[in-house]
Amino acid sequence: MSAHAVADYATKLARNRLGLWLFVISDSFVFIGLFVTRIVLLGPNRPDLNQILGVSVTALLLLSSFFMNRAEVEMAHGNRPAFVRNTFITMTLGVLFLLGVVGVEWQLAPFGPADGAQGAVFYSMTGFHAFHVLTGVILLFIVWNNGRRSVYTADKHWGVEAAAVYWHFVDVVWMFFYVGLYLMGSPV
Amino acid sequence: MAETTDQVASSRRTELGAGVWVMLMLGVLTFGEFLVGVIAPPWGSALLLVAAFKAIFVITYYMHVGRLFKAENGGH
Repeated sequence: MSAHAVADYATKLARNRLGLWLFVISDSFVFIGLFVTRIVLLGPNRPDLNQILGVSVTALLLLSSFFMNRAEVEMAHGNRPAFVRNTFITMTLGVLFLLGVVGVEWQLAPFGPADGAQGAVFYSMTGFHAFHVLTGVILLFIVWNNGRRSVYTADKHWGVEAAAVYWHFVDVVWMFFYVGLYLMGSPV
Repeated sequence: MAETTDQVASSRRTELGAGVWVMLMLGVLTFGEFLVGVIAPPWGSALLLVAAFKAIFVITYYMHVGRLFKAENGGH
């Protein structure tokens, strides 16, 4: 790339990053709203949920962040096969998380979405978060497919960075939701 | 100045290593949260501080928030 092209790319990259972080901050306000709703409506109580399942799905999401970070590092160093492999593992862990929460936890929960504040809080928090995980998995699939087709290079891989930041954001949100839904207060 | 192959390999190892340490720390803290939450639920709100601590690590080392304030490509 010429010096001008490099400078142009750096400017675009800086703007893209700012835009992405502004989106992350604005999206986090919705999650903060949901968390405050949990505090107000449930107070010192918490839904009686399966603790082993809760910590298991949390571990899956943390692990997925680890592999996403590896994928980004590998791409930044031009190791495309490792990027593709790690992104695939991240996607798989994301799908397993979704299956754990929506496919298992929602079925095991001893209450439904219409069963008072507890149901409303639990299903809206996990549902909204699961929707973000689903969109994250779709984003990762696009990035993974692009990676397989050699769209990214060590010098130019904004798509990978954006997908990684979004994925880690979803992980950060769950760190708080896990505490709010599974650990804070006494089970009722 | 272009990096040598050794420098590139070394920086890759360093970045991957940092990722492993962050993951280990997140794992230990999450297991601690789980134990406290199950054994002593009234301490639950203190666990929010632990969650915030974990979030700061992810935002710093995995999301690379510092790149926002760098003029150069930073990572690309």
